[in-house]
Amino acid sequence: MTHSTWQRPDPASTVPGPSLPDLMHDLAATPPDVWDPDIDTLALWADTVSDVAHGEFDVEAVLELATGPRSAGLGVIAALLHGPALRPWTGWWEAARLTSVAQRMVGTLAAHVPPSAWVADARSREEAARLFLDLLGLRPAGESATVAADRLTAMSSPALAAALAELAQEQRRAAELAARLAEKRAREAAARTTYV
Amino acid sequence: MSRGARDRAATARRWDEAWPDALAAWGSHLRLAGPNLIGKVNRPSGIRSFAWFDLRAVRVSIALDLATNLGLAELPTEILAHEIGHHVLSPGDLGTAARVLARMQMGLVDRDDLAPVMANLWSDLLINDRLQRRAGLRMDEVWRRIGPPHRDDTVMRLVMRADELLWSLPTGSLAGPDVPGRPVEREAQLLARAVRAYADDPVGGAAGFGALVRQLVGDPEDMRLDAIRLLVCHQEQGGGAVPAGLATDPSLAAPAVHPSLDPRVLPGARAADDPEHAGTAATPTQAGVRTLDRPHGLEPAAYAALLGRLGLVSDPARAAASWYRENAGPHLVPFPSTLRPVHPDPLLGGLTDWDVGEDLGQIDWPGSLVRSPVPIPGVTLQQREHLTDVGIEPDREPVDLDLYLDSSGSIPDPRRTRSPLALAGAIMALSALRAGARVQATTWSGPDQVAGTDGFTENADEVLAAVVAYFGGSTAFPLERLVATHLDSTGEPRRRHIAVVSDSGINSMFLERGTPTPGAAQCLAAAGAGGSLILNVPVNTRGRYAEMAGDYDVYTVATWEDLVPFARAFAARVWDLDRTEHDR
Repeated sequence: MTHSTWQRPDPASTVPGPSLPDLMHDLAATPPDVWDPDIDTLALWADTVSDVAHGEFDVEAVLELATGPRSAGLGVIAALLHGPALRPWTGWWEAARLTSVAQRMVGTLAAHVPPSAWVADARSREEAARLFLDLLGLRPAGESATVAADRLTAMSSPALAAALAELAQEQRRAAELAARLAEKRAREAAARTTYV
Repeated sequence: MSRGARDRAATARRWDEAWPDALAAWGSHLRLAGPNLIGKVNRPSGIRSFAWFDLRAVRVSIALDLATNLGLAELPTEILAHEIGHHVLSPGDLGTAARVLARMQMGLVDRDDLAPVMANLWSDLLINDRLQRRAGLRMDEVWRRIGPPHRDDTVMRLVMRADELLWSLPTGSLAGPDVPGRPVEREAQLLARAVRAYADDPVGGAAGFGALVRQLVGDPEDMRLDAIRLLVCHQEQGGGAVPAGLATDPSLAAPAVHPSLDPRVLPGARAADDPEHAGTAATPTQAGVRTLDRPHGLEPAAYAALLGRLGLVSDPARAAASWYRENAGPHLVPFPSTLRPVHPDPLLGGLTDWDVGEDLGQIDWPGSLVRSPVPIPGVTLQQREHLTDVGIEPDREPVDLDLYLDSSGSIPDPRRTRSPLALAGAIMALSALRAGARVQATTWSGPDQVAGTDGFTENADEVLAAVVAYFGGSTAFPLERLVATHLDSTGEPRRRHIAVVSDSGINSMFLERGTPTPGAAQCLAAAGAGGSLILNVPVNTRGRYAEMAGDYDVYTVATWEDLVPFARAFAARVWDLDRTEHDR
């Protein structure tokens, strides 16, 4: 199951977490092994959940994410959960919550921003880090809940995609209208030209 | 010294001391003349901004009293570094400023009156983002001191919101509270991405910014332009030579791509030239001229508007002349010349005294210094005499051009639209002038509608002014002027080539009330160097005109694509003429 809709973050639902630069650094330092197509992502996720969370996770819910074209995303967040920035929070989450986080990250964000960009592109890295923290119930250290929610809203690619698609459609319609008007004006100008 | 004067002196000193830091924000090797710090009394009239940059003098100017009034006296490094950015990043030079402005005009479509302000605002966005992000300057604090934009000022709210997004600032911290019914969030998201995508390419992103702004502003009364002018810095660029390449650069006339359709801004976006939407970008056909397939530069009218806004050329006819001169450049052809029996050989003569009042360039310094190390006019300074000897090599003398340009109503106005006919005329005229010939250019339409140069001239500006002149009246070829030039002239003129640029109206050169008249043929014989008719007529009717024209060569030029074949055919004809003369 994947979540295809974007939900506005709730400022009241987060507590201070690691600093954003630290988490982005961990993202940038993602081990290259996660891009290996032969890696067993489901096994990696199972190990990660058992290392950093408590409780059982729903294999069926993660199976689709672990075998799909964006399965490397699961490897990236597994690496993040093991990284130094989130180490103080080890054991803080339920396995079911991490499954939900994986679904949102891999199911929703990766549809708009590929996992490779979470690591390679600075803007995408910040977006991935902010969303990841928010889904974990954390916010960047030093930021108020309102500011963190505002920044996440501003950066959200899934939220923006729908608005921009609408804008692009409006623009195409306007361009078609302008082209028709220009053609009409040219025809009128041709009719006005005198041949003497 | 009064307290106010002491405060002003302290402020000026602080701004002077900030100059090295402002330069360092753009790199350790940058050198630029210090800022021109101006007080209230010596501020140039007409400038309402607190800071401006001069692209010609390469100098930053700051109106200290206005900066202080805006609360910016404590931010000298930020303001100075910003103005330096206009010399370093955007626009940098007059050529780039012109290109940014041209693209902005394209993006703003019918609101091109906003183009200069928007071009400056686009440059400001790129500069401020660079300084905030890479140099660590507090550009956000500059905006905070100035205060949030007026709630009706949609463009400045867009810019402020984009800066909030770019610099990770809380929503509303610069742009102020959102205005119900006039949100700018989507556009600001796009603009923030465009600023990063075009961070080093101000020309590339200008049209997209213009298109974005055009979507937000309606009629002039919807937008407080005065308010924007107060907030952005001013660009001083009046005067100077017209930058080369503006008339022929096809990228300047390319359709503007809205950032929501620009793959550089949104990697997943479908470009405007996507085959699925190809129909929307088609160029409309123009009266009497087939649509041109090849990408082309700005139209003459848009080019004239651009030069006017840059303060370079205010007269549309002069701008059109500059446009045709630049477009003719790649097509210039060899021009006929005639053999003269002998060419006198130069011969060095002896040294004679050089005295005050004679040309300084004539002084022969080696000869003078050999005579005495102390240069004294009329005593020790020497000049070399040049004599001529009867040579044995034949010389070539250029053939003059007598050019007639039809500007009747059937011909599009060359000052407004691209006219292949006018360009063909410009090619002929400039080719002749390049070869050292003189040109008489005559623009004609109906009876008594004749203008042009005052006889044969070597002045290209006069000739091009005639090429772009336009009457738009009836059609009556000025045969009497042709006859006066070639049959009624006294003395022994140089040989002349007659060229007529016209369309089907060329009939009036050979027929009088339907009856053939011999005047044009007699003039051709008297001119002695051939004649060319360059006609905008269907290729399949060329034979009919050639039959009527007798010994005149007939070329058809109906579209831009016909210019290269015309130039090639004309060059081949000249080659044949030269070979025939040489054999003779």
